[in-house]
Amino acid sequence: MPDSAILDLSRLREAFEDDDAGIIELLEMALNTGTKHVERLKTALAEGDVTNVARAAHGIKGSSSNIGAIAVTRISAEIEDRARNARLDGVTELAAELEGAYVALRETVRDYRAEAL
Amino acid sequence: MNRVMVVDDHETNLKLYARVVTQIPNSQSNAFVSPKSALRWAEINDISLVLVDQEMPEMSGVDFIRAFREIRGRHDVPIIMITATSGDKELRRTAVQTGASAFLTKPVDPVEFIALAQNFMVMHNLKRDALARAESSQVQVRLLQTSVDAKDVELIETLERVMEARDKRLADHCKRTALIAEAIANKLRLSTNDVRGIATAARVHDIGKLSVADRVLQKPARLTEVERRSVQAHAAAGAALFAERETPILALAAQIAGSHHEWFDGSGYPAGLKGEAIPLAARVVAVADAFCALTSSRPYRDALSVGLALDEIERGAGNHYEPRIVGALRESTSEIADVRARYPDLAPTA
Repeated sequence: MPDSAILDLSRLREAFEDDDAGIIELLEMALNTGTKHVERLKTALAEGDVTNVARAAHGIKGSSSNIGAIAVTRISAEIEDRARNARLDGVTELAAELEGAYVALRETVRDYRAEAL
Repeated sequence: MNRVMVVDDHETNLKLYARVVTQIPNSQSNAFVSPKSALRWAEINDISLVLVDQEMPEMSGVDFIRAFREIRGRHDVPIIMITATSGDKELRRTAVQTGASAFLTKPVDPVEFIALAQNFMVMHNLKRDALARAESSQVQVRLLQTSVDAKDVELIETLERVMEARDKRLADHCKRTALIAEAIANKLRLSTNDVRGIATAARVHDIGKLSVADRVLQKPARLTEVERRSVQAHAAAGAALFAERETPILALAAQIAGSHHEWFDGSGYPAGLKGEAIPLAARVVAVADAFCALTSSRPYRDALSVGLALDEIERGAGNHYEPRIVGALRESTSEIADVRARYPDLAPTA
């Protein structure tokens, strides 16, 4: 079972009626689009564009919470919160943490695939 | 089958929601990353439930709901809006005023979503069926008052035989068109009597063509302006045959024969009627007639496949044809196959 601090599968199991292959396919799709969104967030951050930082973080938060990616959701919510208050201090560190959370998520999904399929 | 429209710019969310929809009995999902394409699709397809995300770059969920509610026949389709946080009360208030029926917050709980969706669809379908029954009982009262005359049906059958004697292809075209019109009328959930009326009266929709010269009807080349006008005269000529007949079927036959070339945007003939000024029966037959014409060979062109003909007609939705009727034709694929098997296209005699 995946580490539930990184990935909580309970909702996906309900949504997919325990179809592991379907869940893994969705998670891999989420990882790919997540990487793109993190790039978008980093670009906005480099430009000091708080609106787009908030928007990118909001999108990451929504789709990661749906798939139960707990750590990613927590960090992106924190980034969104700061950006909405026009604060970018510490966000560079949070963005690095977010990338780390994605790495951990990717490994978790890989282990899950190896175990389930 | 209940259609659940799902609109979200994030494909992961879309895929997840679509998967949950598969757990709802009798339901299929139609997923859109673009709210604008979803709106275009909603114009021509019946929908039982909408699930829409609030935050989308192309258009917000609230703006989507506003535009969706303006589409004819979509004012009471239940809409569930999905938001990333439950805290924004002002946004929810605006959404409700615009027409949102309920909210779900991410992470979306599949069980909660299924329960909500099922309840909404049950209510929506009950309401729709109750309305259809009320409408149909009104029509029945009307028909009882005037009484359906079996003699009208006999007259229509006689006229059909006249057409057959003169032009077998024309008679077959009329029969095909009537069956397709019947299928469309059923999909539009018209009452049994209305469906039967349209199906009977449409059998002679082109009877006015008996007044057009063979050399014009069979001409394998482009018509001259004078010839084109003589073909167009078939609508008024057909209507004239049933003028002042007041029994329901014959009055309907006059409407259909006279107005099945009126286009929805007012650019048709003979009167240039527009939108709902065109009798509903004629709007239905216009779509059925065009479909049957496109899928039959003509002296000047080959028959189109069903798929190409449907695409062609879809291009005319909103200008020549009423969009919801085009949608009903699209839903009639099994009836289309039956009709084509029953009345295969004869080669034109050039």
